[in-house]
Amino acid sequence: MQGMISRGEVSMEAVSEEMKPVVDRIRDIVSRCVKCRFCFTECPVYEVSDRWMVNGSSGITQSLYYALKFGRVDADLRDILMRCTTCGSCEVICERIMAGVKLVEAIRGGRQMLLDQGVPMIREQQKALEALQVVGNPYGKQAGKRTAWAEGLEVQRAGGAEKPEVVYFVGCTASYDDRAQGVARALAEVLRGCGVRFAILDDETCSGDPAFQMGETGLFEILKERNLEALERAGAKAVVTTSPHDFDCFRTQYAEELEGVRVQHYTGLLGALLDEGKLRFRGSYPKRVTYHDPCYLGKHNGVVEEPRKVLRSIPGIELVEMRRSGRQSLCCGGGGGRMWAEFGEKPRLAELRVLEAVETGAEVLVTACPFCLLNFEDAVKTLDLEGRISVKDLAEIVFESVSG
Amino acid sequence: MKRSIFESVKDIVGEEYVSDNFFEFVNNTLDAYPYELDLDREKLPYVVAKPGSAEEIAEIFKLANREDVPVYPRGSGTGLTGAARAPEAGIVLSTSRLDALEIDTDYGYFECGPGVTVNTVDLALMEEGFFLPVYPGSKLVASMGGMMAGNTSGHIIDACIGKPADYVLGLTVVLPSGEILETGSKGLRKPAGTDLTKFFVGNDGLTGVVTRIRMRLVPARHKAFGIAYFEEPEGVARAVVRLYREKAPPPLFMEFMDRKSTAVGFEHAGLPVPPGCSIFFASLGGSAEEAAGNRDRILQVMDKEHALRAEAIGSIEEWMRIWTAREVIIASLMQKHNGQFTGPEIVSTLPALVDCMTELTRYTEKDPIFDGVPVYLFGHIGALTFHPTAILPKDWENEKKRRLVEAEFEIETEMNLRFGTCGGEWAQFGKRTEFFRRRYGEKAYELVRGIKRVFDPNDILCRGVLEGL
Repeated sequence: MQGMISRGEVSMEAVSEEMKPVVDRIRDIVSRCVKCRFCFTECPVYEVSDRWMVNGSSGITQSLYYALKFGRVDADLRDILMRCTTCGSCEVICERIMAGVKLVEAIRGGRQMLLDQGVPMIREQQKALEALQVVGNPYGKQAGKRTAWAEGLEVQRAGGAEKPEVVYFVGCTASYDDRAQGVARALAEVLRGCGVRFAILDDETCSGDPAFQMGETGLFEILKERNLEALERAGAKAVVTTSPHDFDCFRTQYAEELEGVRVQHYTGLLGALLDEGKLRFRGSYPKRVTYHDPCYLGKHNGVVEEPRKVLRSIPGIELVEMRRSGRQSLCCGGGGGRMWAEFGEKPRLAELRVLEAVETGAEVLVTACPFCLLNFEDAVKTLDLEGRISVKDLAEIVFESVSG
Repeated sequence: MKRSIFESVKDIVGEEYVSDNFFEFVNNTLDAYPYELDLDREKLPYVVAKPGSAEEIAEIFKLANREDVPVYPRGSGTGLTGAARAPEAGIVLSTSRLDALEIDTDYGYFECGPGVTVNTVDLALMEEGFFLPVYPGSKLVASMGGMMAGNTSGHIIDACIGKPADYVLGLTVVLPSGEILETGSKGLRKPAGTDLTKFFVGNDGLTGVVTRIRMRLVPARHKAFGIAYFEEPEGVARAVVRLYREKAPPPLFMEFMDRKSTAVGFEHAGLPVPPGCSIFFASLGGSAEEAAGNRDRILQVMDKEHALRAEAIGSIEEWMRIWTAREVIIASLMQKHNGQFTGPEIVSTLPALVDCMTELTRYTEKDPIFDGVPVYLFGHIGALTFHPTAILPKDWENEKKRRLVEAEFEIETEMNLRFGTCGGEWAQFGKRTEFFRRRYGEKAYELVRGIKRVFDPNDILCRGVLEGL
């Protein structure tokens, strides 16, 4: 059963001055929507939530619009807004065949509105934000352990005498999660092997993307400031990220301050190294693989070819496509702050995606995002498909293949 | 009252499939108009339910009759006549769970629920080598239930394919009184004489809720594509008239864009902007040769009417590339003008087609009806249908937007009355009620009300859509 009517209504008179432009922008965006609902056909959450209108793209933004109209910014609205993965599928289809409405931007604005109006957050998300504020990562891990993943590796720290060509922004998940640390290690080894002069930041902190996505823009600004100072100290001329979420965040939310600094997701850098002949494979990877496009690479930034180019260049690999790929890829369910919330969807999006990968006959599901990696590995376990398909990050496959 | 209705419906469909969420109510009330609805809270639904069977719907109707509460079935809510919106508070009955689809090649039909989308059916049939004779502009999301209520084939030309009713072999229907009815046949022959199916296909949703649709499988036929450009829109109209007069095989569809739309559409699609107006079409045939022959007959007609260019399109890839210009024209226009589209459906007769084109062209180019609002002319010219499309500035006040939409329907009414036609793509009531009464007279409207009373004596289903019940 969907939530009850009427609880915690908040008067719009209470909107703060700084929120007024956000509210105006939300109204401006939603006023372009013609309610054709084509976006519902692409919305992953709508697909796995019994197709209630409030869970489908423009159903979310229309809810927001009428919440503002009726002064009804409440816990019901919170549950609707926070359930969105912000994958951007709605924007892709709207741009292609309708008015080009920026639905995700409106949804993020709505999340800011929730906080402004004092609507209690979802508990796990609240905890993640508190951890971000205190220790600079949403997992509540010690800031001092952030670079522990690099122990035993020859990884340069920024701030030394020699300025690096590239600052490798590892990100929270690849820094702290046991499984995702393997991705950071693999990538560091690959970059070193290609002769890239890179360094990591000793004082790296979260890019702030989770805070930004969850509407906590004040906290985002604090984290952004810390990273900008660290990047400036490092003399960064180029930044490469493990996570598509950090890549997107730097590219869109740090754009002004990072003008002149080249921002890349690591798949783009590997593609360039391949073109330059610096990325060479000694070994082979004789497996059938399928590539899952992370939303913040494909849909949000149009990076779909570079990862495939790298995969195709690996000797022995057979790359097959899933039914939904490229900018039509199905979200793993981890974006928009959903790594810290549970909505009880059955099946979970990651499970649905793993099943699509299995349909192709692939032995390996490859992705290039720590959130996707963790969600898919979890889904393989819950679906009892271990032994049938494994999940790898593209960096890991490249590392295995260059090593021979 | 509200609470007890909600609880009773919950008992019927199960807790998982019922909602009393305020925002779910709002979303099930909206329709595809560019203005903000005056959502009177008193008119929001009591409950949104997603029944999973005809039996559950029957129970909901029995409850509704006992409690005198109206029921509003809802598919995808994409209707463009305003009838998708419930005029009163009641039970909104979503068809989204009734989305089964089964293709039975042994019997030669397919069966589907009303909640399955046209696109889903179309793709599934295509895979099996069949063809769905329905193609609304909203096919990605439009539901088969909505197609039945409107008996619409969308952009497809009636003279080539007919209407969905021609293919419906039978239905399962829940009557507003709570009985379940089966109509038609499992054979490939529709019943001769009395066939209750016809009361439920093209019923504007007023006589019952269709829960299973059985349609004849139509083997896919070969297609051949063509395109032509004309200096003036009247040249297009003359060519279409000549096409019918010369007994050229009617194409599956034939789309027109005026000079302005053509320029915007081709530019948006990244194609060189052609000269003049454009006309796109697809001919059918039992073989590739026959389809090409039918297409060439039409190209010859275009040449006779002095097309600037009339060309066969050689491959499906090339067609898809060019077709993009027409397929996404509304998107192109909305993005160009940063506004929202709206427009009526005007249908001409064959003899009046050139005059109709002249009149509509004058409105769009020389004598704009709406000050400061760009209007473009395109439509399904092969079906003699025009969609003059206005792009409303999004910053307009809500009331101004609403008035413009109303004015468009007034123009539609006036022109369709003058031509003696009617909308052939959307349905008849909602914002078209006045047209219906003027076009067919009060006796006709009273008969419609009378028919509804036969099926729905307590006026439970879609209460308020017909006036005076």
